[in-house]
Amino acid sequence: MENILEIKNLTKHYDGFTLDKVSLALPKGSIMGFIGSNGAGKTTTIKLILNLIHRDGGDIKVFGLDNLKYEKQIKENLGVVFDESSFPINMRVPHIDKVLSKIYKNWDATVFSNYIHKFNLPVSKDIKDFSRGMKMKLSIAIALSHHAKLLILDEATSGLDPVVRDEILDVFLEFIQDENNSIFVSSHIISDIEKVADYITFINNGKIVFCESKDQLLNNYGILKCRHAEFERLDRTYVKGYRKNEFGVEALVVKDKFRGSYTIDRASIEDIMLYTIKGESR
Amino acid sequence: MKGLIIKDLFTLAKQARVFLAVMIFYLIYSIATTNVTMFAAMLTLFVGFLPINAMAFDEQSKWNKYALSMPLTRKDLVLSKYVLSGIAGLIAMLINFAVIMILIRLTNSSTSPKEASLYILGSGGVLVFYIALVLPILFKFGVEKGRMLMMAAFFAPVLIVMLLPKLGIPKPSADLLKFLPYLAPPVLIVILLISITISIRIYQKKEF
Repeated sequence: MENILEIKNLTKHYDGFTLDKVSLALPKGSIMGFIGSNGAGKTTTIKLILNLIHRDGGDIKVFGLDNLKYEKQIKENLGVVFDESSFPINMRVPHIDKVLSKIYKNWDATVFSNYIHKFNLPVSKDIKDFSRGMKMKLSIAIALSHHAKLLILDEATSGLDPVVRDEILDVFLEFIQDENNSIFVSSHIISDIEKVADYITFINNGKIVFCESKDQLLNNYGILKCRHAEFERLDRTYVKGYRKNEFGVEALVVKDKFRGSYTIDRASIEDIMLYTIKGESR
Repeated sequence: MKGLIIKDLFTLAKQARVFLAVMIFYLIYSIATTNVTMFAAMLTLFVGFLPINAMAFDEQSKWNKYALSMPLTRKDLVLSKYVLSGIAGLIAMLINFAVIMILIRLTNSSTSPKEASLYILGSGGVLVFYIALVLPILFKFGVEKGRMLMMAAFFAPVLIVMLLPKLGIPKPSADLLKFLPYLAPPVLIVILLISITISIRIYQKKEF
């Protein structure tokens, strides 16, 4: 399958934080959720993709093209939504429309105005009077109005109420109906990601923990519950993390490896993330 | 690039009303005191602040980071501010010229049209020098942090001129002053080009 976004051994050093040889691949036509706790390196990775910061190593390909060499060409086909970054606050929707029609070759004023109506955004109000949800919707409308092939969203749904979040997720699913389109979305709201993503990449402390399809993750892992004595006898190679309490042990395990009389519950993406980060491992 | 300029014009247009009010005040002041150059000086000063205002708006909304996710280069972002300053400066000089000529007629001022023209061109030159000095500082430190340095940059030329006699450097001779109008344009162009180069280099290194 063709990869729309491919990152190999991406490295960036800061004082006290290193993005360490991050590699991931997003196949065309799918949604990848990029999850991890605050400060895990999600935003750093996205900034590197966009060449907002300078990398110390590795390479990035978007649409099969080097992200530095073909920067302008790539960005024509990219829709980006940031957490807190927008047009100057005293501008209005019609101004933005005019400005962007001069910036994007493929700017589509009709699509834009459709989204503005769909999202119920006020046309004669300054951006400074927009709520957080409205600002986010505006950013998404902009990202979708120049026939972008890849959407990159950094924490686009955090800080929004469930109704707006759901609305936005629907827009993503609609966008992905076209099999040429793909989405890379970072979030720490795992439930949102779980709803829409095909692939999940989990980053912790600057390192990729896994990059797998969601179905595979949900199929492979389970929560095994047992007593302390039983736990001691388990093959620890397949235990990804565990929590002990006075009644017993709950462990995140590779399901297939524990056939027999064990009780294994379904593990959600959130479980997988939490056990891997916080649970004592092996 | 065009998009960036339009964006700045939209942003600044919002302040146009205040700007106009202030300029009308100085226009009346100039007429009342028959000091025709006062208006020109103030207009030039305000125009010098325009790109800074635009940058303050950019900073407030973290626009630059957003802009760089679009098909715009860092070079575009830097150059657009110089172009904006250039456009604003040219318009200001045209307005100044028109206003001063009218004022001279109206007020029977002792200032001759030739003197006034030289004055306007001179103020244009100062504006170019100021922009060339200030923009790299703002690109490096941002408007918030750059504000103090900017004020320093603003008064530096005044200070230097005031200090020159005290340092024993003689006043420029009348001959040199005569050549100044011919000497200034090429010198300013060189300064401007250096300023643009430095700004672009600063911006290329910047992390967002």
